[in-house]
This record gives sequence, structure tokens and C-alpha cells, in this order.
Amino acid sequence: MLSTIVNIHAFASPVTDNQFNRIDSILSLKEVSITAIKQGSNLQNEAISSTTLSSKNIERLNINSTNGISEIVPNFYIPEYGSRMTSSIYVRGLGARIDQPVVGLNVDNIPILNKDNYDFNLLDISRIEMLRGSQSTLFGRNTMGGLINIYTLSPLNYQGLRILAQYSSGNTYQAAVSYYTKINDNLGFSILGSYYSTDGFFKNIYNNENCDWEHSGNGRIKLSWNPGKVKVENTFSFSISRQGGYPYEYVETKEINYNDTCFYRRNNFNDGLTIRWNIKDIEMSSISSFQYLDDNMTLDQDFLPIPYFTLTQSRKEYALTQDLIAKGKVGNKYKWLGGLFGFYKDTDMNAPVTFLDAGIEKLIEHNRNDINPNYPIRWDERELLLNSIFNNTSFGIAAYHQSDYKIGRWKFSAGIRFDYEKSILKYNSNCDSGYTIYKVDDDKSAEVFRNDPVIIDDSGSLSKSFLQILPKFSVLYNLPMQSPSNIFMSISKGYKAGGFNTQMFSDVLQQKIMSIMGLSAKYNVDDIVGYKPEISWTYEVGTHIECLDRKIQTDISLFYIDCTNQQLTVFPDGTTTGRIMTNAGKSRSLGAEIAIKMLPTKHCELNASYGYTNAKFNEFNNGKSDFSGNYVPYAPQNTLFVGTVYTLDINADWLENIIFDANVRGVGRIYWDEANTIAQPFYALLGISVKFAHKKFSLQLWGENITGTKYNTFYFVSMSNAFLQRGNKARFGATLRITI
Amino acid sequence: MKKLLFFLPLVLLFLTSCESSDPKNEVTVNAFQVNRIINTADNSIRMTNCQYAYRVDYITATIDITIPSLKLAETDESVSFAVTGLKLSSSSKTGLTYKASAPFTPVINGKEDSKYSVTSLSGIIFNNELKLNLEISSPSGTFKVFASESDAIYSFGNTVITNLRDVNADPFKREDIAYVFSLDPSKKTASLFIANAKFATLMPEIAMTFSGLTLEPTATGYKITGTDVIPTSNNIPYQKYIITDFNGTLENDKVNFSFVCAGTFKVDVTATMNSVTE
Repeated sequence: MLSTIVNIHAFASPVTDNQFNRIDSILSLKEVSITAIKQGSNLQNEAISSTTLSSKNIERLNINSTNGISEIVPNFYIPEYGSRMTSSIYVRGLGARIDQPVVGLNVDNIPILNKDNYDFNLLDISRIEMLRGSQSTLFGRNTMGGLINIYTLSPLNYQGLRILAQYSSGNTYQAAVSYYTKINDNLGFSILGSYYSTDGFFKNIYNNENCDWEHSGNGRIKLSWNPGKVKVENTFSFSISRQGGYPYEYVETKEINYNDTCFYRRNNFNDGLTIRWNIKDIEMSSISSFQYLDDNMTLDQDFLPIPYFTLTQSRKEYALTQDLIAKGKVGNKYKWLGGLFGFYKDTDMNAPVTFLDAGIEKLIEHNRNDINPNYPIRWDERELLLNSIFNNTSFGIAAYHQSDYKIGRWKFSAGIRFDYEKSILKYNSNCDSGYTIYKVDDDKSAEVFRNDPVIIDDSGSLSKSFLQILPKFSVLYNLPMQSPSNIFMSISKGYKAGGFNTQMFSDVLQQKIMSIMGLSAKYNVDDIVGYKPEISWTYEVGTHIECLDRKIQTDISLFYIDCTNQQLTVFPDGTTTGRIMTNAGKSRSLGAEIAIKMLPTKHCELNASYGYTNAKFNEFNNGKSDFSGNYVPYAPQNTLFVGTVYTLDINADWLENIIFDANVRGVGRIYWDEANTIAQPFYALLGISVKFAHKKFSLQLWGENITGTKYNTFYFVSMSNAFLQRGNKARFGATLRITI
Repeated sequence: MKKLLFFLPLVLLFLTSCESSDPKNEVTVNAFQVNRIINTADNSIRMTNCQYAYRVDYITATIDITIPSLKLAETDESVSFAVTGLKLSSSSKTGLTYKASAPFTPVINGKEDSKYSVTSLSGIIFNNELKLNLEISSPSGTFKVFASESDAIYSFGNTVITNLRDVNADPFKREDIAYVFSLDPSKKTASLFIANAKFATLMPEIAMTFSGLTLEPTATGYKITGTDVIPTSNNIPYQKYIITDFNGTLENDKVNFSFVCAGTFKVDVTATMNSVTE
């Protein structure tokens, strides 16, 4: 796609460098230019709970990826575990570890369809917005918990050369160069390239090497064109990532110790084109994208130094999205927005599971021979390949509308979305192997009884379609105060798409083998592989308050979420291979959030946010146990962020100021299982930084978790073995930024 | 789904056709079934394998039934038995039923034979097989003949498993087990196939076959017994799960039986034959 320029939607007033330095916080949007299309120009004036991070904030808090905004946003938690593929986001008790997410991610208004692409290096980010609560009416599938909007720098708003060099613990370094220029008044061009590398922090004692190493590169080319009547912006980005990942520690031995290869390789590129134009008084926008993903996850699936089994998931996927939006108003009281959205996604995946010697012995032979020791079996070969190949095509179309009506201080909003989606899965599962049955006589001698082949070649097609109607309603009242302040209430329906759990096919194949051997098959493919959409209703009241000439800004919200058919990730009976997604029945989540920003002096700033969530199952019986009344696992009950910034003016030619920052991030309690038998208690991480700032460069010395708090970010049980991932240890580093 | 399949013939009944002899309006079925025959003179009971053939005409809503080889008394020669033009009717509860409206002389060995007289004949078509109740007078006496399928599927129902070694344990209950009895009167044996046998929480599901159970006819159905039966799965004996004290009855559409598995699990089953009624 050729490059074109986009113009920012609205400038309330231009922002000076000084103002940027002072607005060095989680800030409101009054002074900041807006590129959002569907939302209002100032989120603080909307009936939405939201948090916005400026570029200064992102840099000062050393936020290098989407994980970095965890806990800063109340009730918002992105644990760091596994690999770049495992981007599990939990918001207000809602979340998912595999398949569909509850939070959408837009980058420059482009919806990123695959959650496995959510974790990428953030560079030259203009701002990040986190909208909490269901955004499904305007943004559709997989936004029932909220939406993250990331906006990158535009060459029409910023010009110059930027250089970043960073070094930190674990021999971790990052280098980035970006150049922004205006070719003419209407045409801007930018290019960015970066490289990141780390040796990792966690050692696999089996081979005495760090397992969480990573090398990755990113690039972005942006063209923005604003000839006047049409505003066009095209962003092409790519990412290449290679990492070991998966530093899972076996609870029993407290060791990371596994013998087979684990790695995650990802190549992806996206191209997004945004065009804006007016038809009379109607603002039209077209947002198109092409997204490509090519990745390979290979795991020692048992994470033990014993050859049980390995898993590979190799995938190629491409997706197209198109959003057509029209906005208009009638007089000063009525505004409307309508749109059409469509997407198409095609995924080819090859997911073989290989049982190795110990896996064959324990998971197949032992199970079988335990129930018939008189006729034991032995597999003919000591490697058993269960091969699964899939093609998943999904597409959807949606129409949506929202109307806003103002009467005096009141604003009433109502919206609705009709969303249809279909997913078709074609699969082939095959296996070509065999085993020998022996007959054991009374004298314990064994003779061959029979040799049985195991030849499976199953193909089939499954399809599911979903039709959702997603309404929302909100009321906002502007308080009679000098600074913009309001209270609001909202009701909205959210939706997380259903789909197919391809990881379960290896289990289905394994059970087929058992049934060939005379042990009854446990799973019905249709029942287990597919899962239904998750539906939520969110009820929320909140307030945005500014006072003392915006020196104190407070956001408070109370929410209640009803969730049906909640999708939960569980591991099946202890001797199977993968995870499954089940629709857990019903859950409810209630809680509160508060975020405060204070500017007591022009040199000092305080930010604090706290989120509380009480998320429990109303109904959840997995056929073996009843978990009704238990806490929803993996969703934290509390999140906390407290940060203070002090700017010391130097005003020398070589040094403008020194910025001191100290912050605390806290999260917990987090239950790790539906039975609520094991949990991560609340923990807090202390971070500090000192930044020496000049107009053209800055040097920031920083530390994260400087007290070395020990905590866990992930826990799971597989084959009756418990594993966890430790949280990041104390890290220290330095970041040099040069802007020319 | 069962209702749909069952009423499919009814749908066909209402299809119009100019040709009553059009093969599309008929169906002919051969079924290998079992007969339970009661001699009304001394109430002795015997059982035999028996082939049935029937032809359904959807236009006239009639059924013709042929028994190529019917042996009423043990000492009789086999004869062929045929009746034509029995009226078919249907209901949502019973499905396709047939009944002779009055006593009649059947066709024996190809021609009407007045030495035979059918006092009553009725039954239903079930899973492409005939359930048939026949009362017939012959030169060797008056007999009641009850025909049923040789493979009878009893679905789900209630399975209660008691652990004989732990009297305090709660019974393990299941409602998802299907039982298939196969009857062989010629050998006086029956076998039971359980696709998903699981008698304890920690026991894996096994596709089990109990072969060589003793089959006896009774006045109301069949009695099945057995002990020291080693079940097989995939034709491999599973000594560990040896079956003892097997006792059961099959009567019309109900089955009740119990057995002890592995000397530990007492299994009691009450189930109903797969039926179109709901």
C-alpha cells in the first residue's frame, strides 16, 4: 500500500515540551492530540473507566512491552510467563490463557486479531489507552473486558532522529533508531528499526543453560499524508522473535530441569491503512489491515528431565480486517456513529505430539498393563507420533451504531452491534504404529500373543457460527464544577468468541489409541474440541473528578459483571497431554477501582491506582468436582500502583533537570486452581529510577523489583505434576535516549 | 432423532405414487431373530434362532410376514409360515404396529393349511426387526411364539456399583452405560457387551464382553446367569475383572441384572431397551 498522511483529529491546544515534562504522568487527554476514531476526543468526558499513559510515562516506567502496563491500570493484570505467545490478560476477573482474549488490542486503530501477537516491543509510542469494561458494541469480538489502544508517533507531529540504547541485568540490551521527517507540509515519513537481546535469568539445570533467552528485531515504516480533504496513514510493521522461553520450575524439586527442546519462533508483519474523509458533514473513516503470522512453538511438554512427550505447534496465519465508520451530528445535542466491520482469518497449523520412551511406558503401556497384567503390551517403537493438521477459517461481519444525546448537563448514550461470525475447522489426525501383546504364564514366562497395528487416519470438518447482539447504554452527568468532572453509569454486553481448541486433538487421538486397545474412548470430538462464546453483562458506575485547577484528578468506579459460559482453561485427567477449554457455567465479578493523580507542586507528582475484584463462580461443575462459590483462578483480587516523581531543575547548558521516580506495583491474591487450594499471596515490587535529562538526550538509571521480592507469575498442573514460573528477579539497567 | 427415524416410514406412507407396485413404496427386510415358544399344553418353553422376513407396503399400509423355517415343537419338521396383508398402524408411543383383526388360516409351506390356525398375531416393527406375539394351533398342539431381536440394546438406565470391601463408601452411580445383549438360543448362551464399563472412580473405561453366559427362556422373557466368566476386551482376556454371580432377566423392554466384578464391585443394573417412546 502506498503511503499517505493522516492528520490528527483535533488539537485542543498544542503541547509544549515543558508541558510534556510536567504532564509526566498517567494523564488526562485534554491537552493531548487525539487519533482515536470511535471514541470521544477526551476519554475523561466519556462514561468509560480508562487509563492513559503518555510517552514520557512509558519511557520513565521502562515499559518495553504490553506486560509493562500491568498493575499500573487498576484491575488490569498481564503476567509475564512462558513466551511472547502467552499474552494472558486479566481484567476485572475476566481473562484467558489460550485461544480468544477478553481484551482487544488496537495499534493505530488497527485491531490485532491474534492474541499471540499482543506481546511485542513498544518503541516510539505516543500513548497507550486502556479502556476497562465491555467495549464490544463498538469494537466487537474479544473486547468484553476492555480494549488497549496503542498509538505510535506520527511523522506529521514529530520530526527528528531518535536513538535508544539500553543495557540491563542478564546481559540484556536493546538498540533502536528511528527517523521522522516531513517530506513536505502534507507528507510525513518515518522509519524505525530495533534489536533486543537477553541471555535470560533462569537456568535449565539439565543443560546448564539459560532457557529464557531472546533475540528479536522490529521495524516500522509509517507514511502520513494530509493533503486537506483526505487524510491517509499507512503503517507497516514487522517483528522477528526467537526465544527459548518456558522457564517452568517443577514444584517438587524447585528446579527448572527438562531435557527436550523448548523454543518459540515468531515472524509477523502487519500493514494498516487508515483513510479519513468527509462527505458533507459526515466524517468517514476506513481502517483496513493485513496481518500475517508465522510461528512455531516447540515444547518439552512434560517439563521434566524424562523423555515423556514433546509438542510442536507450527502455524501460518493471515488475516484481513476492514472497518468502515461514519460519524455525524445534528445540532449541538445529538451525535451518532455507525459502522460496518468485517474480518477474514485463515490459519494452517501442524501440531504433532511425540510420545517418547518414558511417555509410552507411563502413559500408555502402564495404563493398559495395570488393568491386564496377564496380557501386557509393549509398543513396537519407542517413539509414537500423533500427528494433527488443521485448517481453521473464520470470518465475520458486524454492523454497529451508537447515538449520544445531550440535555443540559446530561449525556445519554445508546449503542447496539449485530455481530455474526463463523469458524470452520478442517482436521486430520493420524498415527501409524503398533504394539505387541504378550501372554504371561503362571511361571512368569511371556510369549507373543498377538501383534496389533495402530493405524489412524481421521479427517473431518467442524463448524460453528455465532450471532450476537451487543447493546450498551450509559448516562453521564457533568458536575457543576470548574474543572471537567462527571459521574456516569453504564450497562453493556460483552462477548468473547467461541471456537475450537486444537490442542485437544492430540488427546482425542490418544484416546482413540486406547479404544483400539480395548479401553473405552473418553472424549467425543465434537463435544470437547469446540467451545461456546462467553457472554457478559457489565454494570458500572463511576466518576471522573478534577479539582484544584487539575492538580488533583480522581477516577473511581464500581462494577458488577455477570458472565455466562465462561471459558476456562483446565488440564484434563492427569495423564493427558494438552489443555482444554471448557465453558464453566456462570461466574460473577464485582469490584472497585480508584486512580488518583496529584500535582502538589510543579516539581512533584503522585500517581496511585488500586483495583479490587471479587470474582467467583456461580456455577461450575466439571463433572468431577463442584467449584461453585470458589474464586475464579488466575484473576488477581487486588492490583496496586503507587508512583511518585520529583523533578529537580538544574537549568544548565549540559543538564536541564534530574527526575527521580519511585514506584510500587502490587498484585494478589491470585488463586491458581478452581479448587482454590493454592494461591499467590499479595506481593509488591519496588522500582526506582533517576533520569538525567537534557533537551537532546537523557540517561536513565533504573531498577525494578530492587528488593528482590520472590513471587510466582504462573502455576499449572500437568500429568499430576505441578509447575510454576518465578517472577522476575531484581533488575538494574541504564537507558540512553538521544533525540536530534 | 429417534422419533425422526421412526416416523420416516410414516412419511413415506403419505407419498403418492401411481404405481402401487413401485419398489420405492415397499421395503423388504430379512432379520435373524430369536423365538421363545411356549407349549400351552404343558407350559414347556423352548427357544430357537429364527429368521424373519417382512415386506411393508407404504401405499396400502400393510405388512406381509414370512417365517421361512418355523419349528413349533421340538419334534416337528420345520415349516414355512406366511401371512399377508396385515394392517399397519402407528402412534407416537408405540411406533409401527400390526395386528390380525381376526383368527385366520396361515399359509404353510406355500398354501393355506387348515390344520393350522392363528388365534392372534400382533407386534411392532422395532429397529428393522419384528417383535411378534403369535398364538397358533398346529397338529402338534397350541403354541405361543414370542419373537424378539437377537441383539438387544439396553441403554443407560441406572447402574449402581457397591464396593463390597468398603461398606461405608457411597455407591458409585452411573447413567451413561449402554448394555448390548446378544442371544444365541442354539447354544443356549448369551453375551453382554459394555462399551464403557467403569465400576469405580479410578478404573479406566474398558470395552468389555462377557461371553458364555447361560441363557434360559422363561414364561415372560429370558433368564441369564453365569459365574467365573472372564471378560474380554479386543479379544484379550481380562482375568483381573473376572465376573461372578451374574443374574439377570430380559422381559419385554426391560432388563435387570447384577454381577460381581473382580470380587469387589457389586453391579446392579436396571435399564430399558432402546425405544422410540419418550
